[in-house]
Amino acid sequence: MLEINGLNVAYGDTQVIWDLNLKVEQGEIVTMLGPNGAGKTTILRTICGLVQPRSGSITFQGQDLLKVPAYNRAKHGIVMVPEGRRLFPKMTVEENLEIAAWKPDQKAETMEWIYETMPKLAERRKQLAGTLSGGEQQMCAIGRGIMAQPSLLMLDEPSLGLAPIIVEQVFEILLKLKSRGITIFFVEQFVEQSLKISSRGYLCEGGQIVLHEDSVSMLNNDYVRQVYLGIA
Amino acid sequence: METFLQIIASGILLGGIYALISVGLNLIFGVIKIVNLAHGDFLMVGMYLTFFLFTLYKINPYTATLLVFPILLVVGLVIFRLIIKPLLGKSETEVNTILASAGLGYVLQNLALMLWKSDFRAIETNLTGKSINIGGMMLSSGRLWAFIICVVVALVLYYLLMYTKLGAQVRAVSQDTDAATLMGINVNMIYSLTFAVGIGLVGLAGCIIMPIFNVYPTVGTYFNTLAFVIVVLGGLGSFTGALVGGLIIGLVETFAGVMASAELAQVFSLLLFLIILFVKPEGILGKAARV
Repeated sequence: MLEINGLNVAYGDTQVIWDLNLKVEQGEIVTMLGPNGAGKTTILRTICGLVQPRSGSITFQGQDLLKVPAYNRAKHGIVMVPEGRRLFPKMTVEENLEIAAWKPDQKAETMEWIYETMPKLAERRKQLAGTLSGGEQQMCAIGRGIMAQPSLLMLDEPSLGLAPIIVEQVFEILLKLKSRGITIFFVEQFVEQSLKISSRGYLCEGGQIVLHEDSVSMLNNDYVRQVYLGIA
Repeated sequence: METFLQIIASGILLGGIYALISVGLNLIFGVIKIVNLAHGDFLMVGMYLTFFLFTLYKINPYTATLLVFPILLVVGLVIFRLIIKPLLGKSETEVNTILASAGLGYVLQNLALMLWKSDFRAIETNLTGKSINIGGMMLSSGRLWAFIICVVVALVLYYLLMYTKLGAQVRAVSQDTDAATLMGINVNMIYSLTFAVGIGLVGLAGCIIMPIFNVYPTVGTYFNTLAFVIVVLGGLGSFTGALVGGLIIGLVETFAGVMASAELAQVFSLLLFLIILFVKPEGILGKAARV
């Protein structure tokens, strides 16, 4: 579904992504782990078109994504829930959801699904997004992403700054999205929980993929256990 | 008491006109985050257009809005494409756009000087010198009409921004360009549209103030200062801020004009401006900048 080959990204003279290859198949949940500054966010931003790569290719459903302008990639089915939610703070929850909807025939059904799955949002539909709690904001950001009818939803650290119990809820929503037929690729720092809901994992360090395995092997990998799970 | 009401009413009328002059500046700043120093000079262009439409073709200034608004809209689109867009998303965008728009302002002023000389020009319509008596208050017909048009324009703009899909997209872009892009909004298209509407609106303001003020090549400089005071006073980037700021300056100038003298009117409004900058630097309706 999504295939990245030989991707190099640089900010000015500083190269941050080195010759990266990555693949996401239809119907999967794939997670990318790694420390701060490893380049995870840059990879997602490049896939969305917010950052232009220096070289390499990104194809999505057989199409050369680099030829599609950033604002049109959502309509091609590729949507990102950015790091730190990035809601429109002075708009209501409902307005935030509506703005992403570009397929009128599916709008009502999707919104109903969102309100059913995340009832807190239904309660707060008329409230300004900037006044929501962190967890509610994350729900709203995910909801906004779904409204764009993605076939691939990417999330950049959805657990960032959330209480453990809320993180669990977020991960449950990801599973529900999967059963709705949405493929998920997400970046996380919660190694164990992320791998448990994923089929495969990538480990990104210093702008390169240093490890790529199915989730079970990754959870049992000595390096991952030592460095990221703190288990000797 | 009657004079008092009279001053209030005149102040509100003037304030409404000032608000319309400023609203485009604030719209452009609020959405694109650039300061358009040529704002007043586009007002001058609008005024000259109105002047010539009236003197050459006998087109009433209020009817002229239907022509001047779209003309300036197109001018705005072209200016955005040629001058503003190449500077966006690069380093030092803020400084470069200020310098570029200031340069554009000088070009417009000197073009006007070359084409039409530095003469003060005014038009005399059938409303000139007429007043309407409303509840004992004598209100200048020209100013009253200008005020009514300002209110209509403000309401239309508010409706478009708050209750249409396009308006929601404009608001989204003003709040977070990256998130807007991710949600499928063409930020560049919204920018050029906003810039065009901002310029179109100041052109329209040029039409409706033509029966009240003289036009000359540097008239924009005076209104530029005024517009900047108004939007900073009301809150930069806040739509209602321009309206509130306009009303306040209109009232202050009218009161000062009556109590002291017309020459001192602007001194008082600038004094108030300084006070507000010290007390509430983000403007009356502005939110404190996040650190």
